[in-house]
Amino acid sequence: MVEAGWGIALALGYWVLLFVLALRVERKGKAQWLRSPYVYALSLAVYCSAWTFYGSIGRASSFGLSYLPVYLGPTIGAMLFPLLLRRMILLCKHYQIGSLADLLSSRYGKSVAVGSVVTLISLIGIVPYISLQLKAVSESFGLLMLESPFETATKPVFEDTAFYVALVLLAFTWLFGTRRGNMLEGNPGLVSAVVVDSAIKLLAFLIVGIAVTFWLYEGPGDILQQASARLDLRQLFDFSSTIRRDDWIWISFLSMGALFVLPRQFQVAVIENTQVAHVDKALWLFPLYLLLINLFVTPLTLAGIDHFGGNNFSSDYFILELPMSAGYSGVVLLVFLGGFAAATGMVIVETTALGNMAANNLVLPLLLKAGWPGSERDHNLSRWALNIRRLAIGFIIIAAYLYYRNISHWSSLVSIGLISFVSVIQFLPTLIGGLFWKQASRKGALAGMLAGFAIWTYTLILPSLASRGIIDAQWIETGPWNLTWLKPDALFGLEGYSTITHSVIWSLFWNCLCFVGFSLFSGQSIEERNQAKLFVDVQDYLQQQINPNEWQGNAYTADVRNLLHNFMGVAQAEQALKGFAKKHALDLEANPIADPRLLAFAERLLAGTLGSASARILLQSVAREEEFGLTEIMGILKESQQVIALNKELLKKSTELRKTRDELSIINQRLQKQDEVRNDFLSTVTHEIRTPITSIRALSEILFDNPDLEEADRQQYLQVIVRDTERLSRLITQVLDLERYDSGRQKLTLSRTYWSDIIEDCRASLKGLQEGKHVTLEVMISANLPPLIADTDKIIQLLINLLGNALKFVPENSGVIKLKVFLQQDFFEIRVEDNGPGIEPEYQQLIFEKFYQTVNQGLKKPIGSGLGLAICQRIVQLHGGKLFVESEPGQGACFCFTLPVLETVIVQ
Amino acid sequence: MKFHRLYLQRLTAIMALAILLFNFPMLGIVSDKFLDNGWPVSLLYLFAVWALLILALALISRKRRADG
Amino acid sequence: MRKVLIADDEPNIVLSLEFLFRKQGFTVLIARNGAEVREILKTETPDLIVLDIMMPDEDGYSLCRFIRSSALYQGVKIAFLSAKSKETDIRKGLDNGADAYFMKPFSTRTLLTKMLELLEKPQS
Repeated sequence: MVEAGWGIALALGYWVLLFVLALRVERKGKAQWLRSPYVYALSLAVYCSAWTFYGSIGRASSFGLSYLPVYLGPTIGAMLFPLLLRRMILLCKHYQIGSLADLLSSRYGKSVAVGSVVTLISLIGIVPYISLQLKAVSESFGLLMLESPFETATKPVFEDTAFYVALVLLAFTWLFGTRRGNMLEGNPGLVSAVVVDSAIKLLAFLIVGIAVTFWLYEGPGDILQQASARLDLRQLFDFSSTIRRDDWIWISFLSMGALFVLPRQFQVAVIENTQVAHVDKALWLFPLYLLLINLFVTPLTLAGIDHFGGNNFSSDYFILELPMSAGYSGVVLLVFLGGFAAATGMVIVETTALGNMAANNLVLPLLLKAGWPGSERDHNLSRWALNIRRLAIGFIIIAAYLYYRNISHWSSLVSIGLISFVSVIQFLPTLIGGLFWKQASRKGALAGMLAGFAIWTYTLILPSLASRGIIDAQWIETGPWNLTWLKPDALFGLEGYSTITHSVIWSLFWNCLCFVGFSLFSGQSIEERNQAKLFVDVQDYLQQQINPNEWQGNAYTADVRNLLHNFMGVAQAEQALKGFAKKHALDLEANPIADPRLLAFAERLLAGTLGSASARILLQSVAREEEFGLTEIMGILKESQQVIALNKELLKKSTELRKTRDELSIINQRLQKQDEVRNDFLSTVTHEIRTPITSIRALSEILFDNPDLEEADRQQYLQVIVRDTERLSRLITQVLDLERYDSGRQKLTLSRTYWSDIIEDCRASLKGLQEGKHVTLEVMISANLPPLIADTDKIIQLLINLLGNALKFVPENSGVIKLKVFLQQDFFEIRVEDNGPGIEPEYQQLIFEKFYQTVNQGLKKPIGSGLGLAICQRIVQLHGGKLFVESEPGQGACFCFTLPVLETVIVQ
Repeated sequence: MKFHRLYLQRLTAIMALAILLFNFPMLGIVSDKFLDNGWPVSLLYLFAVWALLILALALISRKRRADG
Repeated sequence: MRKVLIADDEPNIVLSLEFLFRKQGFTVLIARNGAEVREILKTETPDLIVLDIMMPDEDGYSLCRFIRSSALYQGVKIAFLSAKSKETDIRKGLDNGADAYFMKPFSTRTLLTKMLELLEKPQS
C-alpha cells in the first residue's frame, strides 16, 4: 500500500515536472537543446507507447518472439527516412502543411473530402488506441493498489484513476498542444515533455530489466534455465507455424508503414522537426532506441513465466509484478512511472495531432463551406481555429475515456494497438502514391482509403463487436446470408491467417486496387494536377532556386537578415528582401527558419558585393548542416555572460568588415581608373610613335628599292626621314620626362636667375620660328622684379613650349604674341597671350591632359602633338605654382602660370 | 549530389539486407535451434543482426556527413 | 587607269603611299581629312580608298560607314591603314564595312602586294 501512495505522489510530481519544463521551454522561446538530433530521435520514440511498455511482454509470453516485428518493421522503415521522411518534411515546411490529413488533402487538389476521410479514419482507428493508454495507466495503478483489473474497470467514474489521468492529459494538451495558430511552428513545450517521457520509459525499462535479470536472477542464463524447467520454451522461439511466419512478415510491414502514417509519428517526425538534417541521425538513433527498449523483453517474459506461470491473465503487467513480488519498491515505482510516461507522451501527441486534423480538415472546412462565421472570418479565424482544436481535443479524450470505460477492458493491449495500426495503414498507398506518382488522383485516394477502411471495419471491428454480443454473432460464423466467402475472418475464402494479417492483406489489396484503378481510369482536375506536380517534383522545385544539397542546413531568417544588413546596409537589404518575398510569395516574418531559396538569394546578393567565395563562407556561418549551427551555439552561450562580450565583438568585427569592404571598393575603383588611364596613355603613345616610324620605314624602303630616284625626290624623302626621326626622339624624350614627373623622380636644380635673362634665352631659341612666320613678340616685364629661384632650364623649357604653341596658332604675318611677367602679391604671374583662334571652353581643361584626345578617340586634337602642355603643367606644379588657360574662341588664348617669390630683394 | 546519391544507394542496400535477414527463409534456419547452454539461437540472431544493422546505419550516416 | 584615294592627315605617310601607287600606275587622289574625302567622292569614284582612322575632323570608321551606305560606291574597295593595332580596333574597322585592315608601320612591298590582291578579289 505504501507503493500506491508513492505512486500517486510520483505521478503528480512527474506531471508537475512536465508542466514546469514545458512552460519554461515555451516561455524562453527558442530552447536550444530541443534542436539537437538526439532530442529529435527521442521524440520519435513516442512510437513506443504504453503498449510497448506493458504489451510487448504480454505478447511475448503467449507468442514468443512475435512481439518483435512491431519494432523490426520500423527499424527497416527508418532506413527510408532520407527518402520518405525528408520529402515529407520538405513538403510540409515548403507548402505550410500541418498534419497528415492536411498533406493528403493538399496533395489531392486541396480536397476537403480527402482531408475529412483521413481525419475520420484516424479518429475511429485511434481513439481506441488512446483509450488503451488510459487503460494501461489505470490498470498499472490498480496493480499498485493490489486490485484486479476487473475491479479497476468497474469503479465509479470519480474513483477511477483513468478519469483523473484523462483530465490532466487534456489540460496538458490544451496548454501545450494548442498554443499557436500556425501548426508549422511546432510545439516545443509538448516536444520537451515527450522527450522526457521517452527518456524515462527507456530508463525504467532498462533498470527493471537489469534489476530482474541480475538481482532477482543471476543473469539471463539463469532465467533461461529456471523458465525452461517450467515450460517448454521451444514454442516461444520457433517460426515453424505458418501463421507465425505470415504474421511476422505482415506485422513487420504493417509497423513499418504505420511509422509514417500514425498521426503522432507525423506530428513529431514532420511537424516538430527543427532541422531536416536530423533525419540522417535519427535513422540509426531511433532503431537503437527500439533495440534498447526491447533488450529485456525476453528475459522479463521468461522471468514472469517462471514466477507466475505460462498463461497468466495479466502477463501484460509482468514488468510491474516481478519487482513487486521481489519487493523492489523503488523499481516498482520507476516502472509505474515509465508506463505512465509512455502513456502520457503518446496521448498528448496523438490528441494534439488528431485535434489539428479534426479542426482543420473536418470542422473548419465544413463550417466555412456553410458560410460561417460570416463577416468576422477574416480577423477571427485563427482564434476560432484554435478554439475548435481545443474543443476537438476535448472530445477525443472524452471519447477515449468512454471507450475505455465501456469496451476496452475486453481486449489485451497489443490487439487494440494492432487494430489501430491497420486502420491508419490505409493512408499508406495514398501517401506514397501522392509523393511519387503524379497520376495519383483524388478519386483514387478516396476510393482506396474508403475501400481499405470498409474492409478494416468488416474484418476487424464487426467481429469484435459481435463477439461482445453488441451485434448478432450468428453471421460471423456462417457469413452474411450464409455466404461463406463473405465470412469476416475468411473473406473470399482466405483462411489460415491471423485476423490482423487477414485484414491487412485484404484491406491493402482493395485499397491499392481502388487507388491505382481510379487514378488510372478517372481524370484529375487542374488543381489536382498542379498540386501533384508541386508535390512529386518538389525537389526540382526547390532545385530551381538552389541545389538542395547546398543549403539544406537551417538558418534563421533573422540571421540571414542581419547578415544582409551588415554587408549591404539596412535600407538596401530590406528593399532586396521585400522584392524577393514578393516575387516568391513568401512571408519572411512567418517562418523563423530561412527558406532555402532565401539562402540562395542571400548568397547571390552577397556574392554581388563580396565575391562568391566570401558570400558562401558568410552564409555557411549562419546555415550549417551540423547538429549545432551557429545559432545553437549562440543560444547556449546566451545563457552565460560571455555572449554579451561576444556579441559586441561580432558587431565590431562586422562593422570593421563593412568599413574594410567600403575602402577596398574605393581603392579598387581608383585602381581601375588608373589602369584605364594608363592603358589609354600607352595606346596613344604607341600610336604617336608608330606614325613617324611608319613614314621613316616606308620612305627608307622606297629609297632602297628605287636607286634611280630623282635627286629632288631623294632629298625630300631624306629630309622627311630626318624630321620624323627628330620628332620620334622628341616624343620619346617627352614621354620619359613625363614619366619622371609622374613617378616623382624628377628633381629640380634650383638656382637664382633674373627674369630678363630667362626671357632673353627664350627669344633666342624662338627667333628663327618667329621671324619665319612674321609674328610680333611683345615682352612686358614689371620693373623691380625680385630674382627667380627655380630650375632655370625647366622654366626656359616651359616658356619655349608655351611660346612655341602660341607661335603655331597665331596667323602668319599678323600674329602678335605678348609675354607679360609681373608680381601678384607673393608670386610671379606670367602670361603668354596670342591672337590665334582661341580654345573652345570644353577643351580648356582637356588640353593639359596627356594626349587628351583619348577622350574622343579617333579624332586628332586641334593643337599640335600632345605631351607639351602636360609637361608644362608638371613643371609649374613642381615649382609650387599653377598653370591655366584663359580664352574665348576667336579672341585668342592666354596661358598663364604662377611661380612663388622666394627672395624679395628688389633689383634695380 | 553525388554523395547524396551514394548515401541513398548505401541505405537501400542495407535495407535490402535487413529485409532479407529479418525474413524467411533466413529465420527458418535459426528457428527452433538452441545452443548447448539452452540459449535460443533465433533470439541471439535477431538481436545481433539488429545491432549490426544499427551500427552500419550509424557508419553510413556519419560517412555521409564526413563526405559532405 | 585605276584610281586610289588616300585619306591620311600625316603628309609624310601620304608622301610614301602616293609614290608607291603612282609607280604602279594608279591615279592618286589625296584627302587630308574627312571633309576632303567627302568632297572628292562627289566627283570621283576610286577603285580603292585607303583610310586612316584618326583624322582631325572625322574618324575613319564613320567615313567608311558613309561610303558603304551609298549605292554609288558599291564596287569600291576600302582598306584601313592605321596605327591602331588592338584586336577591337580591327574588328570595329571590318564591322564598319572595310575590306581590309592594315597596320602602320608597314612594309612597302607587302602592303602593295596585298592592296593589289584586294583589288583583284571579286566583290563580296
